[in-house]
Amino acid sequence: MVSRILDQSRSQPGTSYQMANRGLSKSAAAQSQREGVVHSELSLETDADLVEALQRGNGGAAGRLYDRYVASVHGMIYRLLGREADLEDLVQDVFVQALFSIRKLREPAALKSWLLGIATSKARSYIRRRWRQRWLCFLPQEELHEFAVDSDPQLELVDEVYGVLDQLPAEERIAFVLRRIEGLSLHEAAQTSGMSLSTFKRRLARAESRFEARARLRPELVKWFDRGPS
Amino acid sequence: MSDSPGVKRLLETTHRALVFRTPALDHAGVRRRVLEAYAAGRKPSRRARTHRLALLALSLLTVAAGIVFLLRGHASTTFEIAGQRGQAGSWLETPPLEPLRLSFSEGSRLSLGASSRGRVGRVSPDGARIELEWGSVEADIVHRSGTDWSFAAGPFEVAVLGTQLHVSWQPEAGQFELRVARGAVRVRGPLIQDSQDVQSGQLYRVDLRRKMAGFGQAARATDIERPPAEAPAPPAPRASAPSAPPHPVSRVASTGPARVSWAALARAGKARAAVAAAERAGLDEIDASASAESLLDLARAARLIGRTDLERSALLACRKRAPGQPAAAQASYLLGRASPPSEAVTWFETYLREQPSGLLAREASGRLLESYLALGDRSGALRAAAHYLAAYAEGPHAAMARRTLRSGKGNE
Repeated sequence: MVSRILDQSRSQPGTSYQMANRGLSKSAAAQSQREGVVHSELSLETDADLVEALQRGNGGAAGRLYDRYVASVHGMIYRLLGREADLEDLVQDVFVQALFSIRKLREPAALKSWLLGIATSKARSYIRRRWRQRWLCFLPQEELHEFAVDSDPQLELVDEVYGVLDQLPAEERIAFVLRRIEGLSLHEAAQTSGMSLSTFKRRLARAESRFEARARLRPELVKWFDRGPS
Repeated sequence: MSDSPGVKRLLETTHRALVFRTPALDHAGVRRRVLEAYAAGRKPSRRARTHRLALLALSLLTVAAGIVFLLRGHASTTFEIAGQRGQAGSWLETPPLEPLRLSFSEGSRLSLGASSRGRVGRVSPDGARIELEWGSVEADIVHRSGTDWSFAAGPFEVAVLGTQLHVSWQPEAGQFELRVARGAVRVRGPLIQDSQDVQSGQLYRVDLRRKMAGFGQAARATDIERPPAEAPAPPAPRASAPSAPPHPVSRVASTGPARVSWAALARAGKARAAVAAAERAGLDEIDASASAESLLDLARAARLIGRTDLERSALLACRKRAPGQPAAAQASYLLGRASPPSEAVTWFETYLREQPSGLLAREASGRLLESYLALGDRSGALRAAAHYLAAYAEGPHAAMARRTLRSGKGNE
């Protein structure tokens, strides 16, 4: 019988136990910490080693890539898309695409940001698909009425915020989430979203402006814009 | 945008709520599907062939260096499989019921369990590194000064001195098991803080799905059979590494279809080979006689290579094979996923009727809602949304369900 239950908040399945994130930015390292990634002193395989093994066709490397980065990819997609996304299929798509295009990766040490770039690209396609589906949907978004189902006020707040984000074009939404919710630096966010820095800044400014305009129409959000609820 | 402290707090609160309420992911299931897709679609490119040539040249150089090293009196460990010289780096796969024995020149013995995949990753003068992708391996390691043996089982690492042990890794279930009959080992991996020493007579288990790790009941001594010299050699193994030499191990592709069943290939994630073998064996015969689980494996393999006709027929056969069983319900779910919305609705409802608390119930409920929305069936969508929220208020389709209900109410 298994006798010891470990603290779930400190370690998660599939997270890396290897010191493979050397060279990550401060915010990325903080993100790893938030996601419960456990780093030990064990330093068996760097990202560059792992990429080399994948490019050589090492049979176990694909599993190691998944184990090392599933938490980061999962978290990133979740925060880009909010609570209604089909996360499992998207996470699967990200890793399958990564494995099949690993030979295109020029900087092995940038494995994580490359993977998150793929995740962002998949999220972008998903948002666009949803956007198209919405045009076909019989329920117009503007007619939404209050209908409290969640008893968790924080989750209701999340739904309000993502309700506004749902109205933003995909590129602007991604720029907004990466910078303002995910907390990446301008440079990191631009790189992850695959935009040049100047394009990213332009889209972020537009996204911020649209977000505020639409959020101010929502009673649950407008109060945050002045002083914020106590 | 306003940079007031209130807005910053709003976005920080949103971020925190998302981070601390990230929904659970079926890690083992997604991992398995990723690896299956990768295994099914890997094609050797020109660049890969160039790499192989380079590796071959490197291997020749290594062999030459090894000979020089031997002449200097420090021989590297070698090993034999079924009486023939083994090659480090070649993947070995065992069929069901057929373990594979490896014997090393320094006296250590290994047995790769039935239905397992692993390899001798490298050998050194003082030991070897064994890599287990799935299944189990039993080992009887001879203790010497400076012994350097290690085992990698999925994300787990086991460092060994002299010992007799059993290592098992089931990636689909996320379960790792280590049984030490003699000696001591040190294991590192997910859910293990730093490292864990496991002593003689102890059993240590990690369950990634349940996020549990710890010691189990005392282990019974493992028994690595040492076959007498005159014992008949077990059948030659199959190795699937592209760099595997033609001798002594042959590649899966060169083994006859009678030796490797389509079911074993499907289970091993070799989708294209599994489908080809199934077609050779006769699909009607398979639909009539295969087990429900094997039919599910075949359906997955067919889906991976885009053979939706075969996927569908295997799933329908599975439903006939095991009516009322979980496998049949799973086939309903997969049929729903592979069908247009008008038909998907029926399959998802079938799954939910047969397995209302099944592993896929949440996903089936969400997809049922999606299907109704795609069909424009308002009453069906409202019903599905209400059902979803009643059961999974924080599920991944909850926001969609809430919107559906809000809009439905607004339109009344």
